[in-house]
Amino acid sequence: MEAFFKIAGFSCGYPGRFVLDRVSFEVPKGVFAGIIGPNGSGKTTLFRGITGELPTLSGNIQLEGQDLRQMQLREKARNLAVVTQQIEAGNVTVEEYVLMGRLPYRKTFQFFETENDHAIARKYMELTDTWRLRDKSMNALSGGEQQLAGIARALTQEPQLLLLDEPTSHLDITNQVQILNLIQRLGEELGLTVIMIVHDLNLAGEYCDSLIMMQNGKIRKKGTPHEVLNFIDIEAVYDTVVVTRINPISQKPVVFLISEKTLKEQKKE
Amino acid sequence: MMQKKYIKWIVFLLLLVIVTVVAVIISLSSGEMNISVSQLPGLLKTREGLEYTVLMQIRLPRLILAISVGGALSLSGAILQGIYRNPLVEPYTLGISGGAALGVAIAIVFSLQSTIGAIILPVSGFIGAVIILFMVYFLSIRRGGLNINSMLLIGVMVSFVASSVMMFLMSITTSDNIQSIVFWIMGSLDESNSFLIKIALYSSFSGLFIAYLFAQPLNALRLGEAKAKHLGINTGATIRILFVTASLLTGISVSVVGVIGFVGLVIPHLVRLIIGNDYRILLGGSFLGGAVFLIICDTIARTVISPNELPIGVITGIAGGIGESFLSWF
Repeated sequence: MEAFFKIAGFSCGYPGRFVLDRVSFEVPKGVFAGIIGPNGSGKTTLFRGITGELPTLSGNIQLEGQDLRQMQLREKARNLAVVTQQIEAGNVTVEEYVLMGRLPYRKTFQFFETENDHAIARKYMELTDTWRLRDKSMNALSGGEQQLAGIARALTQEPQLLLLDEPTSHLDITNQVQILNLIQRLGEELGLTVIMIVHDLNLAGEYCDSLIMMQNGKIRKKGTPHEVLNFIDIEAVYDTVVVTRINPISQKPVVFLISEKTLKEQKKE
Repeated sequence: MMQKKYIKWIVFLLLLVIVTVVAVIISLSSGEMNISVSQLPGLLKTREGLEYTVLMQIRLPRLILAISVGGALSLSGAILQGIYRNPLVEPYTLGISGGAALGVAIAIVFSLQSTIGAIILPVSGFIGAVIILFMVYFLSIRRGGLNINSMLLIGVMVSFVASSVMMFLMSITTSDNIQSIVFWIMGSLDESNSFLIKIALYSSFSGLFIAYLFAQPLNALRLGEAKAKHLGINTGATIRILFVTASLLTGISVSVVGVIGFVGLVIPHLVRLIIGNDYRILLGGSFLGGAVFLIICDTIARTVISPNELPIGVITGIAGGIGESFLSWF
C-alpha cells in the first residue's frame, strides 16, 4: 500500500546555495512526526520545499499517491495547512484571521463566507480555546494565543496534513505543553497527520511518534524517538556531549546536556 | 444569521452614498451662475434655457470626471497599499505621475501640440505613464517573480529620474512652455473633450470591478505573500494584475486631469480608520470616498475666487495634508 505521505529522492533549493540533498521518508496517516537537527541542517529548507516555496530540483512528494507539486495552489491548501513560527497577522480580529482558512474553498465569485464556513471556523476555535478571543485583534494576543489562532486557522482549512515550523519556540513551558498536547490530540481525534520542526529534543522525544534527524541537508537518522535520540548520533550532529536516559514516567528518551566545566572536572577524576 | 460586520458595512456604504448624493447636488448648483437646488428638478424636466446648458455641458461632465478620477486615484491607493503592505504607498510613489508629467513636458517642449493638436497632451502623458509602468515592472522581476520590495525602491528611483529629466527640459525651454508645463502639472478638472471623460469614467469603473475580483486575495495578502500562498492564493498573478490595474488607472487619471495629489493616500487611510482593513468594504469605500473628496475639492476650487479658478491640486493638497496630519496626531 502507498504510504500516506511520502517524500522520495527530494532535493530543493536554489542551485549554488544551500540545497536539500535527496531526502526520502514516509509518514503514515495520523502520525505525529518531528524534524530535528541543528541550525543550518536543512530543517527549514525541507519545510519550504514541502510547502512549495523553494523550487524542486529532483524527486517527488506524494500525499495519498498524489504529487503535491502538481496540485493547484487551492487544492494544495485544502490538503496541506501550514503554521509558521511567527504568525504576524497584523490588525485583524482572531475570527477574521481564522476564517481565512476557508479561502481555499472559496468559489471564484464568492464574496462572503457561508454559514458553513463560520460553523467550521467556530468549531476549531473552540477546539483550540480561541473562541473567547474571537473579537480581539491578532496584534493584541500573546505569543501562545497567536500560535493557537494559527493552528485554528490551519485546522479550518480542513487539511489532511498539518505542517508546523517550531510553533513553541518562543513560548514558556506552560504554553509549550498546552500547544503540543493539542497537536498530539489532533492526530488521535481528527486522524490528522502532523509534521513539525522542533528545536527542543526533549519535547520531540516526549511528543513525536517518529523523528527525522537532519544534518547538512541530508537525513542523518529516522525512526522512533528511541532509535533517533541516542547519544552517538546527537553528539555527532550537534557537536555536543550529551547523556540520554529514559523518562521514568513516559518511558520516552530524554537528553541531558553537560557543561564544559563539569566535563573538565570529570576528566581530572 | 446576518453577521454584525456586514450590517456595519451596509450602514457605512449607505451613509457614503448619501454624502455623495448631497455633494453632487451642491456641486451641480454652485458656481459662477447660481442655480439653486430647488431649480434642479425643473431644469431636468424642461431641458431648456441657459441654466440647463451650463448644467449639462459644463458642470455635469466635470462632475463625472471628478467622480471617475477621485474614485480611480483613491482605489489605486488602496490597491497598492494592499499589495505592498505599506500604508504610505500611493499611486504617485511608483513614478507613474512622474512618467506622465515627463511625457507631457516632452510634448510641450517639442511643441507637438501645434502639429498634432491638443489631444497630444493626454496621449503623451499616458504613454509616459505606461513606459514607466513597464520599466518598474520589468526591473522588479527577480527569479521569475515580482520582488515587491525592490519594486517600491525602483518606483521611487524612476520617479526621481523622471522629475530630473523634466527639470532639465524646463531649464532649456522658453518661459511660455514652462508655464504650460507647470499649469498642466497643477491639475484641473476643466476638460472639454468628452471622449477623454468617457475613457476616465469607463476605466475607473472597470478598475473597480477588477479590484473586487481580487478583494479576498488582497485580504489574504495582509498576512504576507508566503502565507497567502499557503492559503491557496496565486499571489504572483494577483500582484501583477493589481499592479497593472492600479498603474493604468493612475496613468489615465493623470493624463486627463494632471497631477492631483493626496487623494490616493489620505482617502484609503481614512476609510481604513472608519471601517477597518477588510478589502471587501475598503475598495468600494475608498472609491466612493475619493469621488466625494474630489467633488467637494473641485467645488471649492471653482467657487472660492470665482470667476477664476484655483488649481484643484492646491485644494486636495492642503485639505488632504492637514486632514491626514490631524488624523495621525490622534
